[in-house]
Amino acid sequence: MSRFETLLVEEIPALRRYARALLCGDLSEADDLVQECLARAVSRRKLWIGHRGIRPWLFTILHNIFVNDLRRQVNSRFFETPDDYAQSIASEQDADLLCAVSDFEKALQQLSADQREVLLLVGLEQMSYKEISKITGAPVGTVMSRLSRAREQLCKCLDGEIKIASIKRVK
Amino acid sequence: MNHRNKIVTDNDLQKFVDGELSEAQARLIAEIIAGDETLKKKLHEYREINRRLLEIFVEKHPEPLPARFLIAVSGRNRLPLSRVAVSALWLLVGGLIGYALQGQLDSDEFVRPLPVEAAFAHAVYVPEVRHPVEVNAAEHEHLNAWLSKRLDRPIAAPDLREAGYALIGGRLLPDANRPAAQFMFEDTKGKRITLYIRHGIDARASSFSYAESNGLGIVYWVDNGLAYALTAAADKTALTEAAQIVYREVNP
Repeated sequence: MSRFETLLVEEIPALRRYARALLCGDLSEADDLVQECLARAVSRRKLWIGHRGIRPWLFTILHNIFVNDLRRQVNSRFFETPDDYAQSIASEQDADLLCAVSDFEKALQQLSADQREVLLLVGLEQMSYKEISKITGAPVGTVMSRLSRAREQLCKCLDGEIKIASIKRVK
Repeated sequence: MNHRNKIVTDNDLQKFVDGELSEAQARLIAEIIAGDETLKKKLHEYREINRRLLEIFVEKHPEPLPARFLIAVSGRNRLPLSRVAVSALWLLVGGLIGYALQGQLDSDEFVRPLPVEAAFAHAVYVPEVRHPVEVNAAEHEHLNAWLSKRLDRPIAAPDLREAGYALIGGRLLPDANRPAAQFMFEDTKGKRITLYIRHGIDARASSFSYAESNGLGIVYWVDNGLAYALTAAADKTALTEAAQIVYREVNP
């Protein structure tokens, strides 16, 4: 294995963890995303500048694939049928997937994709605002406002938990 | 600096939590937060969010890496078509087995769900070079007559040239003790699409549904007592367009 390949393999667990969090725990979709990211990294290895850490480069590739996939999903959301009452079994599966997770995870799923992305890069991957700005292509100010909105939503969820806990205690 | 006049904004608090401040700035903010209950609560919540993210997503017992990642890293992921098809078949066997069992539980006889059956038939016959079909498109009329007789319903290969696919031919297949039919089509680049038809044991007339597994997309529906499934390594939009042509051909 070359040095490049070794570095890539070392980053797989981090990419996988991030992809799973980003896609709200959809394991197979997350693995597809990681695989696509690795394949692109291999085909574009000449574009990697060795002195820069490989992780931000890989996360940038992953971000781009994720954003393109999102766009494609939005475009194909309207699934037309001859008799105009389509039912996609995929959406039913998604609904099942939403069950059996904590309120916190639900709140996380309800964040917009760009808010969730920034929150995970900060909280889970411990990246700096500057690194995140490079990965997502958004200015640092935008990174911060997305982060702030994401945290605000999740704080509401935490506040809700405290309320429920105190009601239980009163009983 | 007189920190009594300093107001801690949300941005300051974020930077403080995320380690984006210089040591001096952080010390100042920490002092102000210490004397402010609202800020203290917010800080606690921000830290709690980070803690939970790590708790939920950091693996306690790292899993072994799937082989497909290592293949992707080695760059040897361009397998010959036949090998891709064979591995796709095995993945389908594994990936759809739960779905198939679900179908079994729902019915008295062993009937595999339509998309599963269609995807299996697709994966088995599409890689065939010499014998993709039993009856060739040259014997188009004989093919239709034969399949109609065996399925006991009028069956005809639809014309998919509008979608860029020409008929290769068709074959008879076993399905839940009743014969089923498969038509195969090919575009100019050799990409194949199959139409699987069986008796409509699944449901009454239904709209288009979509399933996908390992790069194969399946659009399926029930119409006039027959169940149809169109399968190809194509995206949902392209498949749906082709399915609409089939639907129009069947219902002129």
